Amino acid sequence: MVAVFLAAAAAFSYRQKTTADVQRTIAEQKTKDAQLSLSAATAANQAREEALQNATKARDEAVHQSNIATQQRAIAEERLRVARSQAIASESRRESRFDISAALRRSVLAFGVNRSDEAKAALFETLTRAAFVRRFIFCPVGEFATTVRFSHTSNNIFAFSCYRIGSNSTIHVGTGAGVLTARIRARGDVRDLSFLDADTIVLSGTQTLQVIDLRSGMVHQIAGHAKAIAAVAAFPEAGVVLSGDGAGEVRAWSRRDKAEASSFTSRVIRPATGRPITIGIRLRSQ
Amino acid sequence: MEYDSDRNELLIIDWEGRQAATNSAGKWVVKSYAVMSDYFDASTLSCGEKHPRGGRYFEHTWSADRSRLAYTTEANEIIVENPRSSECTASVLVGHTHNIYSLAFSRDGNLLLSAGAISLGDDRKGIVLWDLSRRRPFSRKLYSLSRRAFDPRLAVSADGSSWACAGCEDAVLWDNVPVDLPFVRSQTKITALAISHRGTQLAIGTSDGQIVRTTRSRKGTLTHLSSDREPILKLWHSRLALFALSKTGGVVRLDDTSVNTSKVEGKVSSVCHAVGGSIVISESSDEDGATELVVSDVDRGAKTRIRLPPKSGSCGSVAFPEASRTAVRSPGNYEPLLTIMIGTSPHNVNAWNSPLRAYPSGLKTLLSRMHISKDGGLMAAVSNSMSVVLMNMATKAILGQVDMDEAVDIVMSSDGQKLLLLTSNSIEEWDLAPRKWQLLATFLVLESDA
Repeated sequence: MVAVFLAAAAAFSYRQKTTADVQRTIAEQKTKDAQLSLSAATAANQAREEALQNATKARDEAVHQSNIATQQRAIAEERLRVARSQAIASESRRESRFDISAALRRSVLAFGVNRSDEAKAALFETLTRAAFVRRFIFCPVGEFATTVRFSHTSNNIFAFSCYRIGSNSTIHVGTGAGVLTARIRARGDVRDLSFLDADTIVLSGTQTLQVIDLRSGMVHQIAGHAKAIAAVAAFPEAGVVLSGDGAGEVRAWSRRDKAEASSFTSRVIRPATGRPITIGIRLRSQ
Repeated sequence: MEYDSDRNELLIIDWEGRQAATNSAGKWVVKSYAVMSDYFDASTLSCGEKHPRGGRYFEHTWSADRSRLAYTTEANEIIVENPRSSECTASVLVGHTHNIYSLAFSRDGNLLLSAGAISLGDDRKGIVLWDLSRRRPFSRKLYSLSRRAFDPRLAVSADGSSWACAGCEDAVLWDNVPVDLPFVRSQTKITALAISHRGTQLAIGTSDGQIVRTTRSRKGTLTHLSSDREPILKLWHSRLALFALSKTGGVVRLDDTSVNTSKVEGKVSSVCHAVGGSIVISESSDEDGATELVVSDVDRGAKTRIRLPPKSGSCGSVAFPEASRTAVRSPGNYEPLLTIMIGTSPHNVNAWNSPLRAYPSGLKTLLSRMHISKDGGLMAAVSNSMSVVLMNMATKAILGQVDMDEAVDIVMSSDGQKLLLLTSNSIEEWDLAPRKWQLLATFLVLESDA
């Protein structure tokens, strides 16, 4: 019984010992595995570090290359701008011999593209060629500039007409500085206009005498002629407007009320001859 | 139709003839006058031969006082002439690209308007406003001269705001006003002028060695009389002091408290010297007869001699923009120009041909009265006494050249923004800033529907 007990105990102890061994072996194996995975992890870390470093290097290199490329591009673009500016300037200088207003625009463009010597030279040359010019003022595309007159007052107000064929005219009013201050639509082909005073302009172009009141911007139509008026002349000192029409009739107009632009009445001072008045009427003061 | 207000007479012009209508007691009486061809008599033109009138699209107009007549030519130019003159003195206005339909003078006759084609041949039409008192859009007439001395001289302040002229109207003009100079005898010549940086003080040097300073509120005050009584060649302001250089090389430095004198070597040529700060550049010959530039620093008492290449020829003009430390010398013959770095060792002397002479067939040019902006960027000079030349000194490129009847003297403000020009009958001021040119060129062209 005791022997059996001892044997059982020994067997138990042996089994215990064996279990412990197994467990130790397992633990050792685990330790080994852990060490292995640690070293693997370290290696992986190192690899990652290396990869990171390589990536950073590669990125820096790429950035560097990209910077160089950007700089080169900027240089190339600058050279392109200079070349473009030179080409436009050269065209502007050629043009300045026969079309000064176009050459002026082009030289401004050349200078805007790049402040090259050639652009500066083109600006200077076209300005030199634009001798005595204070301003070029364009009518809209397709319109004729038919007539231009100063007012008789000393403030150098002027007016001109732009006419679209088959349509109507626009009267532009400007100052001696070359600044436009008003734009008024009028009827017909206005080939002649005249200032009666600083606020009143009379126009040719229709059978009616057209009177612009600059204070209100209104155009008054006053009947009288049987044919379209070809020439008008206002004489401020006499307070008289003369108009000649396509049949050669000449009328003298006077105003009953100075403040009222539409209060003109007229009478014939030369009957129609059949020969049209075709030349603009001019004031001869002496 | 024309209306004669004095005679109360009206001229009616139709295509075949003209008639006169007389207003008598409120009644118009019409009578036949003459034929159409009499309407404009070309033989009355003083410039009819030089600038023949146009044909089919002929236009003309008179100024109110009849002192100016404007008419068109076949080449679409407008000739503005004085019909009372026996000689042809006309302004030729070029800007129309095709027919001109209408002309009109302003009341004072100084502005002219013309209507017609102004771009792309006959395609774009409009008007041109002409200012007959301004030949160049970037120039402004400061003064109309009735008479001037044989050798007048100009001065301008560093900022270009103030100008002076000696020998204009037998006096010294300072911003259009004659300067009262009680210390200067009438026979004494004014040989040098300088205006302080902001134009508050004018300094005058005379042929008998006087230096006179004046402000706008005070009469001229004798500041200094040089001991040798030699003509003052140059006056200039630098670092709150006034410097004077005499013909014998004497340099006087005047400031509020002291007067210092020193001397540069030898006689100084009246055209060939340059100054900047305390530096005076003059020219002399060494023992072998070679030409040398003598650079004297009058503050430090230092002298440097720079030998010029052989065949440098006589001297036409020297300029020395102080900040760039580079002197430029133009020869009095057709040899190359020289650029001389001052203060380097060895001295860097470079020869270069003016681009005005780049083409073998081109006119040979002599540059005189050379001025260079303070930063060394812009050069202005008179070429062959007939034209004014502007040059970029960094690239040696010509920026502009304008032919004149006569360019007697020029000066440039040291910032390079303004040029003053003395011609045979006027003093003009030019804007030299390319940015200003751009604004002007932009302003000169306007769309009426914009």
